[in-house]
Amino acid sequence: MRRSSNTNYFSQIFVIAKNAFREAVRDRILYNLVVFVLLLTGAAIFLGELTAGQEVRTIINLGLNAILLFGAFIAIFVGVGLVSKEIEKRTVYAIFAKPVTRPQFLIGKYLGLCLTLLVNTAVMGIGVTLALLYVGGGDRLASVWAAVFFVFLELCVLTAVAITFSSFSTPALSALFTFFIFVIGHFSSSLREFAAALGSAGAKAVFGTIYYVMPNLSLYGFRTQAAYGLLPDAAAVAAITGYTIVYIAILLSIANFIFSRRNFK
Amino acid sequence: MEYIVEIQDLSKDYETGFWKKKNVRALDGLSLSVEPGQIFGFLGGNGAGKTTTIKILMGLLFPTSGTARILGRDIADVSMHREIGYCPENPYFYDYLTASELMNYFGEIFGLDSRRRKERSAELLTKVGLAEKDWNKQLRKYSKGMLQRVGLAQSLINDPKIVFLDEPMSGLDPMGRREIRELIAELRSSGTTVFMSTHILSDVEALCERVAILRRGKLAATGRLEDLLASSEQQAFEISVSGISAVALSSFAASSGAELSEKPTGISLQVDSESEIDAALKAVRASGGKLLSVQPIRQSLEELFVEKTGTA
Amino acid sequence: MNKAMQADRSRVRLSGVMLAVALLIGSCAVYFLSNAAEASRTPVPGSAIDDDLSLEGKRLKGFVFGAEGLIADVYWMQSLQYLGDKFVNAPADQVISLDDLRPLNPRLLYPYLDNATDLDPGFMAAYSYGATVLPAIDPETAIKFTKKGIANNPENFRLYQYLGFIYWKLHRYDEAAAAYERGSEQPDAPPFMKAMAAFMASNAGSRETARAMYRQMSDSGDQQTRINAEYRLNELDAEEQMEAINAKLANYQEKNGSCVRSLKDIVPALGAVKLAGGAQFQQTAAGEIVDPQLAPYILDGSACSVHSTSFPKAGANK
Repeated sequence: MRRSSNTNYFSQIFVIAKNAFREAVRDRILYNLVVFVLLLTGAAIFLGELTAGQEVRTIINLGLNAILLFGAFIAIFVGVGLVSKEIEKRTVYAIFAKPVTRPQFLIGKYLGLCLTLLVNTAVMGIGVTLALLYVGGGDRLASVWAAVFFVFLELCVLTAVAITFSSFSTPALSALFTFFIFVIGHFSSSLREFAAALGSAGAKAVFGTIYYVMPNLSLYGFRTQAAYGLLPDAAAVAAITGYTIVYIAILLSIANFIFSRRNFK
Repeated sequence: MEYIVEIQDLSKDYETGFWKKKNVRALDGLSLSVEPGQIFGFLGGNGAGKTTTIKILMGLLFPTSGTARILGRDIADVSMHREIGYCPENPYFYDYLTASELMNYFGEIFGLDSRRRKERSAELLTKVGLAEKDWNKQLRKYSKGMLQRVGLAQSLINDPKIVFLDEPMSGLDPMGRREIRELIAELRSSGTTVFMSTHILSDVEALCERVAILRRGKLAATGRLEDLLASSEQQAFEISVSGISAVALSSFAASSGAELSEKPTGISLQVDSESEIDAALKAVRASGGKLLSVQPIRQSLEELFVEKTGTA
Repeated sequence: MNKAMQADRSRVRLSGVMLAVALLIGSCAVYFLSNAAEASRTPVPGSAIDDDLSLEGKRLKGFVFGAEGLIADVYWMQSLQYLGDKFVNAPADQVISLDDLRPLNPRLLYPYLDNATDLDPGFMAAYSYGATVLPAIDPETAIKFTKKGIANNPENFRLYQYLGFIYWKLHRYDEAAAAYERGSEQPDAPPFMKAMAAFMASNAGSRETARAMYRQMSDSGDQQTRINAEYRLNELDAEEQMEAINAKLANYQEKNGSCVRSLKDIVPALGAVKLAGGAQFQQTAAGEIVDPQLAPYILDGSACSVHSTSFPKAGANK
């Protein structure tokens, strides 16, 4: 299962990614945008009533958290089906008889979903931007887009988790596992602090390990900061982006290792 | 390169059971060679290991032991796939794509430029007999037979040197089967090697020069189809007669040992050797019957198949 | 053939080794990048804790799919968390008294509790928390809040008890008596409500009244209220003990012309003192006289009086 000719190793990945994006579009995944826009519009109108004159803050909080949740939903449920659906429907048969290696296919499918999430996140970001401009929060836009970028990075990690689980488990279990990782990933930082504050050496070791092994999703939490109009400094963006890329590379290596050994019965 | 496909001592065990304890041997020490420029028939009953073999050749399954080479290159070498084609059994493709989109997608994977993709797609979809009005329908609306045609078309997008067809006739109506049969014959005449698995024997008789018969994962027989059929026992002949009743020939049949049977068109007299034909014809003339035909009876492929596979 | 097979096997083994190497390098990179990212995080501003509440609970009512109780709980937990954070983050040298929390500036405590009880008008824990803590911030708010509770739950005698307590702390004994009186008329009111009403009318400023007040609170209410009430009861005990000690110190000084050098000198005299409920002074093994939290009383030679480290306010206000 070595690579085909190097000249179009990446163009083949691109072709597969493009098709995965088209699949998401044709499967009407992006329809969630309609729900999001309705939610945001409704919020923009009603929040004036509900909040004590703090629409800007509330729209940022609501919008950014909704972007994360909608995205996480797609990353988990589409992510676990990316490869397993193709195996189950036997669409992989024709693909792998073409000069496509399994890593190319896996990475292509992964990038296709990331592209879908990028479009989804960007459109939602634009929705939040418009809502903010409507309520007069234009001065927070840079912060909001910084947070949107972080959310996108988090979704890329989550997709990689989903695809890794689905390389050896059933879609339903993979979705469940990925959801657990999503939850634990947000807690691991607090859990480690908690263990450090009162735990035994054993607890510290356990939670320290969990902290580094699990994706540290709390790093991507810039949503609250964005509501205060803060901006991350360049070092933070660089460190988090680097972390994301390395973490995803590790996950995809594992997924490839397993996927390249699978028999398609 | 003497052989286009060389399979050596190929075995495949499937693990079954929850704790992966039991091994089921689907393929057992299969060795096989295919010469270029032929239509090679790969025969066997259900579960004989035909699809398993083809999937191993395509890199979809990994053999438990043994090796195989296509075009002189190891099957683990994916770059060899540039020069081969494959149509899976009951093919299924992305149902959100249209036939021409699918062709375009696979064309892109082979790195064909957009003009070539368009040409090739139109050419092949026409060749497999898909009406142009269906080219832009999503595949989810396709019937089984139409999918089979798309499967054949996509397997040829790269102008392969050899194409592997797993049950290419399944899901097709008699007209469709004839069209595809013609297409396969045409491929051969244009120099493409065809490796097809099937259990439809009339297709094999009509198309294949060489066959291999598989039985429970093992090779039961291989060789030129004619040789395999000729090797079986002695030649018999069937004499068809009309215009008289069976009773008229019963005394001849009784004395010569020929088999007598009534058919819708008349009477059939079956003799065991060429030397008995003359006597039989005399008896027919004597009883005033009209001779319709004298035909040699070969062992049918079906009989060969039954004999080799032990299944009906 | 065998060569090819071996080549294939070794390729599998090689990619396994490659994966292991990649994982090792990757793990190191993850470790450092994770630490770097954690270190460069942008903190949420500290003032965020005092931002005006962005959602008003009463407006949410009817729009939360029946989860009003749950959201009320969230507001309630936030009110506890909020004050707790204020305590934790207070400067180390700041002395905080339970009687006056204004130095902490917990301006959002009332909005939190108000929202919680808007969403769940029968939220007794919120009312009892408010009745014990809000007086130390703004007594009028505390009265308003407790009256809201009574308006929503007119048959709950506890709320009248809380209201009476708040008035009593403010020395508004007539209003306190009226609150206890009305409380005692409620169906489940225990006899002490009637007794408290009588106390308020006759003997409101006495230590016995205060004891009765806190004892009832420690028997009822939620854990936080109980802890507060127990602290108050201990404080009252300490106050009484310090009064007794100071009286004996004065006696000694009168007799000998100078203050004692050590509290041990008056231990025999203190042994004869009967404290409320027949209790006795407590001593350590070393013979030191200790307060209800078992910290020794400190003798202040120049004033010839004692003070308690556990209860710095005791004796100072009365």
